Amino acid sequence: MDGLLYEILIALGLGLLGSVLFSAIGLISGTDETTTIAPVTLLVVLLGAPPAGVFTFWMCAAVSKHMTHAVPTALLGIPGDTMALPLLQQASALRNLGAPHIALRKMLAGSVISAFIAVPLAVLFAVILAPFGSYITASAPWLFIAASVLIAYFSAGRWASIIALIPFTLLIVALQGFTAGHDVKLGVSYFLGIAVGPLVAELVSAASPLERKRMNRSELRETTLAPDVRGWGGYFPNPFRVLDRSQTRATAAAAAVTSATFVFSPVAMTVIAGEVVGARIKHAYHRLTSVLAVRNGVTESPSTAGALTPLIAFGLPLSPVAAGPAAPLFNAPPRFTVNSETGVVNNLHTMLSVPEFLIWGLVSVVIATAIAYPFAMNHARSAAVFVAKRISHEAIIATFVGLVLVIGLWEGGVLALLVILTVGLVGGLLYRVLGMNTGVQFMGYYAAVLSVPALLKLIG
Amino acid sequence: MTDRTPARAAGTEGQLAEIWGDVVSRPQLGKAILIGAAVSLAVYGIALETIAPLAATPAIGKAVAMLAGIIGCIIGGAICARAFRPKRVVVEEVPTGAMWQTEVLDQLVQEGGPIGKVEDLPASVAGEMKEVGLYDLFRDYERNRARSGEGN
Repeated sequence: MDGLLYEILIALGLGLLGSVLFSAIGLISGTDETTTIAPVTLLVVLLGAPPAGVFTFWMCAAVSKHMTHAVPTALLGIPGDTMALPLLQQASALRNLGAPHIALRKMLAGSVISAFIAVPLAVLFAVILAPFGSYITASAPWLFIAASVLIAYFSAGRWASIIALIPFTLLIVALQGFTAGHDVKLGVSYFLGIAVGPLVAELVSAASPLERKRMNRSELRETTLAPDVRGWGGYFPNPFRVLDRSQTRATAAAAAVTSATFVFSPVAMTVIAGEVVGARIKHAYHRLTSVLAVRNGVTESPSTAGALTPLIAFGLPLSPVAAGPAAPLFNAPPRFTVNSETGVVNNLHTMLSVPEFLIWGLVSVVIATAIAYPFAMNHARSAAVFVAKRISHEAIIATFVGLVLVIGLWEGGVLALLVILTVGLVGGLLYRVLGMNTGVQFMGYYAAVLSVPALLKLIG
Repeated sequence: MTDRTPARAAGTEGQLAEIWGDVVSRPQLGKAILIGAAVSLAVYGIALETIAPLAATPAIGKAVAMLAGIIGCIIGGAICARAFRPKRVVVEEVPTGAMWQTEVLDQLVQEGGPIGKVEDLPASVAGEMKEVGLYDLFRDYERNRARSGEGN
């Protein structure tokens, strides 16, 4: 009994830690969840935390970060996370109208509603899918090819993105071969490279005399902050009152649908869900706020489902989220291992039961909501004023450069840094010139890892 | 033909540029990148030499050093935040109907289609817009558009 109590306390404690830590990290604009959550979760796994603790830590970290990443997105007009990129246009419009706090509240309320819906649905889909495990495992490489083509088509680049997928995937395959020749196997570095690609491309462009003219400015940037309007009493605003009825319905529906589409990149689902909902709303203001609520809600649901469903059903990382931010829940040798040839799995899939996943998943959402949601709701304006007046963009870029260097060196030394620079510059330029967004590039990475070996086997 | 860049901004900040969505000073950005890189690498290196050997396995030791390095990034960022001021002017009051608000609406029309009539909105949404102070703006904008549309 003491052992059980100990495990429960550790799980709650780690959930709390994950929530506080990643609520703070979410405030830093431009961070990528794979780049930040995956390495820290790996650390928790390797330090020997009990299975339930590993799970609550990851869940609380992910859910909290999806809430607080709305703060820089709404108030500063800089995406708080690569996942928040699709929210930028609507958030910037409301910010320029002088109502960034409205954008923020809609995003936060959408996120809470979505997170609570996603957990039970993800568990349900896992239970439904589990009997088809062997079939899905066998067809995973083809699923990833189909998904990456579809997501590329829905990116701004359309056919250009689909064509660009081929050289981009080949680049990753070639880089993997190159590092394998030096006994270095990289994973996080590719994600990091894709995630910071836009920054790498901007920094390199800034050094080019050809691009200098386009980028130079002669004036400081003017940022406006509206007076704060508090539409609620107490510390915990009811999300159902922040959103109007049609927004709640749209958010819940989008959360339910995107929980089922866990094989797709969450960024792509965020874009599509916003387009579908936005097209149905006649008035521009209502359209802006509804799209924000739905899109930020959809940053929660496919992430939660993308990690939970394959973890519970197969124990194999068969979704972009499972291969990305949630990777250490599947594979963290020597403690968690997956053998993709024999199908023998030794990770959270075998260590926790279905009811345990459901209960700890819901507990995590409660913890994250209790910490990140009221913090962002009540202190967003003071946090935004602090960031706008005290944190220069130079400091943010410097932090990122440091982060890239440390994580790169940690994973694979100088070779990893070369990979990050290469993938980042190529990916960043493809994004800017062709409109091939980071979501498509992440799918290109999975295609390189999962689909290319299967294709080569087929060719013989 | 010579390749001329825009005139230098006043003050000690040197040439300004918009990089990654915000305005920075070029010389200060260069220094900030050097500081960020140096501090984070130094903390990571020191942790790798001192704390990492104490861990149970090399993998945990390296992971702890990485965590220390991430704290190093934040320290580097904090140093840069103190050393270099933001290149933003924060305006706290918003005059309704200002020129640039109308420009935002013009942009919305271009990107997302019609603005729509405020009269068609559910009461809850209209109430929210009044609270935020955007109701009149959207109403007047749509009326002006309708009027100029009739004029043509």
